[in-house]
Amino acid sequence: MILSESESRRIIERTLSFSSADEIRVNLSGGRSGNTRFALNSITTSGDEDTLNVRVLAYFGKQHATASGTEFTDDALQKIVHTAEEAALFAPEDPEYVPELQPQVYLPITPYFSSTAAATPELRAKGVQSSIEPSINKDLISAGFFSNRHGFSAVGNNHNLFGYYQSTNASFSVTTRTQDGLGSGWGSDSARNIDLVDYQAASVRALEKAEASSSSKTLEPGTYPVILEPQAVSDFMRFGSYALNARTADEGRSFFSKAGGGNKTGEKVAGDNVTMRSDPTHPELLGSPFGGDGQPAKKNIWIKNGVLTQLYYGRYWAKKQGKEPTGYPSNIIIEGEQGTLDELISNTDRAVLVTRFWYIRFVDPQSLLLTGLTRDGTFWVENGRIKHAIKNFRFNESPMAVFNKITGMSEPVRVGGSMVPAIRASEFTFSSLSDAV
Amino acid sequence: MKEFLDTALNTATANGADYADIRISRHKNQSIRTRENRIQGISNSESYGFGVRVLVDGTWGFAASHRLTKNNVANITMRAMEIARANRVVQRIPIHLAEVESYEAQWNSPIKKDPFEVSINEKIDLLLTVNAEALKIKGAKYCSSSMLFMNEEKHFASTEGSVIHQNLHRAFPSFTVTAIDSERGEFETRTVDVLPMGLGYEYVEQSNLVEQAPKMAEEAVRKLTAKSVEPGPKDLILHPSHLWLTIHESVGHPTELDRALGYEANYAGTSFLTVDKMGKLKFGSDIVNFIADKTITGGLATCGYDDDGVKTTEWHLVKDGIFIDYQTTRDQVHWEKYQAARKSAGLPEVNRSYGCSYGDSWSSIPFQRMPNIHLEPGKDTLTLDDLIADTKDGIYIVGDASYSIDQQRYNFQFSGQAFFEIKNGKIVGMLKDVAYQANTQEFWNSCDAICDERSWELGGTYYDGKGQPGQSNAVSHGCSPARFRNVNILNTQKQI
Repeated sequence: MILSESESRRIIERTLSFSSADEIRVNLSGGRSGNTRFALNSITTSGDEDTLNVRVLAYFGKQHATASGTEFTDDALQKIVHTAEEAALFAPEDPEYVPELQPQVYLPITPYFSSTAAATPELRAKGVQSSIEPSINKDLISAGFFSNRHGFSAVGNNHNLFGYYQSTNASFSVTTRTQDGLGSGWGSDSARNIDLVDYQAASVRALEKAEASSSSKTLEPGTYPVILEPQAVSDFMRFGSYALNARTADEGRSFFSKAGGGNKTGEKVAGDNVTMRSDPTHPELLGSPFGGDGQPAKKNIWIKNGVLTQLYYGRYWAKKQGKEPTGYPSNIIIEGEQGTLDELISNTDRAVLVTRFWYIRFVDPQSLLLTGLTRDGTFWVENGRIKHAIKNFRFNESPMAVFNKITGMSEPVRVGGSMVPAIRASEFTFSSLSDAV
Repeated sequence: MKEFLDTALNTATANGADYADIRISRHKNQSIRTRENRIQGISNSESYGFGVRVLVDGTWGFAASHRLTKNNVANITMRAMEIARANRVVQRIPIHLAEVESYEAQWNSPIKKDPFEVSINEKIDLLLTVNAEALKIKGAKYCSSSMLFMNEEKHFASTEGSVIHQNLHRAFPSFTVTAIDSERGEFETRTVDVLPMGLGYEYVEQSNLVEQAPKMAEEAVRKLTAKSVEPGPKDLILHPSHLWLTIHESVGHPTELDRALGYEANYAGTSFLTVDKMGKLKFGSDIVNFIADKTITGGLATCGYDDDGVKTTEWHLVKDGIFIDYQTTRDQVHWEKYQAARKSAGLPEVNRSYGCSYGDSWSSIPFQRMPNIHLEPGKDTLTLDDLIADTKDGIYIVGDASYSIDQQRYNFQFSGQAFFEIKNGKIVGMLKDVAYQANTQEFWNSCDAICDERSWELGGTYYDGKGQPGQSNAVSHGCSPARFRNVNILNTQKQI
């Protein structure tokens, strides 16, 4: 359910009026989402959900607690406020208490498109139909998912803080497999504006990869040069962004912790060609203007030319360390170079080409060592062209190690909530073969 | 309540639905999180609403809303009908539902103490005591602890005459200790081997968290100076606090029938256990038996009836090492490939669902989710001590940690919380940097010993993800300690 700005303000003020707490924050969120799933070239399930949620954070001095609910009568709102306040009174004082925010100025971001908000089940069914038809014509099997969401978010507190925005998002993905199960390809696209979601191009990509990967050869596990397509870069490198927390680093339990104490800010942690930043105003990504506590989203440069320039600081840790709060990374943008993925491939002597990764998990947070598998199209590149498909691998590798071995990049493209290039690195460790297709 | 249930079913029937059901549910969650001597957050959340599912000319439609009024129930039912009709043009495989009895029933989790009735003060005291006890150990620098409680109360009604009311509870206390060597810039963690259960607050009281805190802290500190493992093949003895996750990933997921037939290909993947292997594939050694169930006391997936209104039961997935069956819902049983493969393998006919349908919220479409799946205990008398004494060169692994498996469930890699080196039948010290990699079928065929029922325990997770949009399922896996021969051990230390 979408509440307008004035309706949101009214409910927040109503909720605040039920409270006797010293400080109180109210978050409202809701929306309408639709989705259509398909498999075996046929629709399987499809749904539509209408949601509305209220969350209350109450403070008595330095004691605090939250409660949330989905009912909006006065009685229900009073009950939620009472639940939060009662729990807060039981809580010990929080030595890390920071006062609620005063009114803030937010970046002028409108991550909303009426086309997405108006999308219907018929429109999604049409998209699915156009994905399935080529698959049927080529005797292939497709499964996928097409979804759209229109939501809103509002925050207010008893210091007169207020923020409100609406957002939309649409996403399409498809996996196409050969009848014999020996080939698999994948394509996807997502955007705030559903009109920009190119489901036909994603479907063609999945279909071509399925056909191209159907007769794979075995390459022995080992350390090889690698080209990671943008989706694989997004899958892999985002785990590096999870380690950007200043507090964890300062406490000695992160890759960015420094031996002897402190963190590695100002130190070289990646190759000269690596710059990683966040920008909620980026026109292709359009992030949220504020976080759940009402903090404005900010632009940040985390790594510049290989040097760690900034870690993420929450409000308490920033105050303790004499820093400015940074806001949480609203998105990840990795600066690339000129040229396309195809051009990167054509300038490569030999490398494993990875379409995307699957089931990535931390193995060792100290070194950011990850494990996971390649999926839906892994190829061997030789003398500037894709020579043949290869079997999938399990890898054990660290994004920070790869950040130090990048020998080429394409220009960045939109992948979900990131802008990332394809990356070529001189070494990447594949530890075993997987029979999975 | 009845008027809402009737409104949905009558609206659907009057407008041409072949089948309809409605779930009205209230989901309560409480979370208390602490670190060291302070509270990080106390949160109570409630979500209330309803979802209506209709079948029109063999096509599903689903719609859900938080606004429970008679008018809105009718509107949402009509929206579900519209969605089903919009999708008919792309429906090439019509849905059929297996037969089901109709039930008027009530089922409750067998809890002894309602966690939502226990004071927050008592819970906070317990968690802060755990942290304090852990931090008394020299070298233990941080301790985070938490309690999560869940209550799911739902009313289900279908056009086949069922009206079912269920009240489910789950509880999950936990803590993690971190030890730091700041000079070398190194750290190690140890999470307690207490896993979530479908029980009440009595489970928290029985978990002995305070007593376990110093032991976990000592192990975190010992890990800092433990010997880095020598890679290569070794025998593994896996404790239930670890083995549950290996069962979940390598047995639970590949035996989902929707995965095996391609319905999850775009996200979770497919399965190496294709239907032609049913009744034929030697999944594990002769002593390996896996039973699926939704009835065991304390199981996270345990309930009286699934979200198709099917009464829950138990059945074998693997018997004497042979893979023989899958997890199913009402709309899967008729699938031709499944039925043909059963017939071809000479397996008995199955015409009823095993009751594996679940939607994680009133706003989520129910689909096939994993039941509790257990490794049956060994038939011969055997304790963990006997098993260690019988092992010449091995590693004993306790607790779950890093885990990863491919999209067809062949190749997996697992790590753990604590690793103990076994030499000539004795534990000689701790190891670190340990992970093992294996192929599912080879791994379960290398199982040569399973301890008896005296050391059989349930493990499990609140957070088994599947589907698009993603849904979370809570599920338990029981087992006794078991031994696996010649498993490939990796050393996970990496210098950058």
